[in-house]
Amino acid sequence: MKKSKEDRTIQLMSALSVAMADDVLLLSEEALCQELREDKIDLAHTAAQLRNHALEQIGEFRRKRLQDASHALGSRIDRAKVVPPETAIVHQRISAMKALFVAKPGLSMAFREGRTQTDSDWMSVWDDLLELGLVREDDAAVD
Amino acid sequence: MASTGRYGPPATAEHICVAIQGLTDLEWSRIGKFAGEHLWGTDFQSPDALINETVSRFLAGDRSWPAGVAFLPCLCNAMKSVANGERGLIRHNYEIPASDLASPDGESDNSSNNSITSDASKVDSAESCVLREERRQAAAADLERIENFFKNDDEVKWVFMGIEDGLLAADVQSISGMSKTTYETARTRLRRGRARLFRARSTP
Repeated sequence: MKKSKEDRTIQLMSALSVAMADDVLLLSEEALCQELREDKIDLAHTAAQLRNHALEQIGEFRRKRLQDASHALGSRIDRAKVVPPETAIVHQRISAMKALFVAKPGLSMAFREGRTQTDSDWMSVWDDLLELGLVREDDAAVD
Repeated sequence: MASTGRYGPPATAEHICVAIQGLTDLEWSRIGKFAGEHLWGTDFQSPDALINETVSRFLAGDRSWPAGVAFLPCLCNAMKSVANGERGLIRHNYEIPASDLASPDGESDNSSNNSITSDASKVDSAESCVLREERRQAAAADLERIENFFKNDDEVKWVFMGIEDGLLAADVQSISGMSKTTYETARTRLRRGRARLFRARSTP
């Protein structure tokens, strides 16, 4: 019985809080200003205090979002980084290209100043041939 | 993915930030006063703490702001929900089964102690029981302060009874014979008097 009465006390105090808070929302701007003046509450100071804390939270939230975005971007860039092919694959590709040039005499390739091509030159040609559809990635697959 | 409710799709976190940044001094004062009224029975020590908790929940996406609703009422409604949740949570935490209560029999002290040391949840329950009792006593003391403060104000007593019984303003006016203006003035006296009594906690 006592417990029930005490629970009712808590319920009543809670209901009072809700009712009084709802009344604050219904106050006209004039009435609100009047109450603040009567309570000697500096409107600008009170507002600045509450606003500053909220702005700090927003600043923190935006910083975290920026950091998260930065990390996400970093990992995307890492994934997109072009990794040079392994030496074995380079040699396979060069062999495949040489075989292609033999098989298709119509295909020709200019040698820089008549010298031997570097591996990098060959890989550039490989990319061109890939684009032309004359070779496929798996033509140079290493088992 | 958040669904679109009857008041429109939820605003993005960035929109919420912009809305908060756009609140005027008067709106902040209203929010602070609203939060102050809601502190009773919660563990929030100041209106600021309740506001910060609510803003955090918005930014974390735990609360949403439907685009078709004005921001201030939405923020206040969320604060109300957070405070009510906190009060409910505190009460819920303190609810314990009768079987966990120690027997009033002095002989059972030892067995009760053995039980407590062997079961952590019962230790919590014993602590909860003490805390619950403290909270109830605090509520009774607060209520007594309010009742004493208004002991000579019959109109406020009517308003108070109306809130206690969940009556509409019109019903209280009809039963008490108070005019609408008298009722509203009495209700304001109750709110202002209560705020003065507990100013230390409710002032931002």
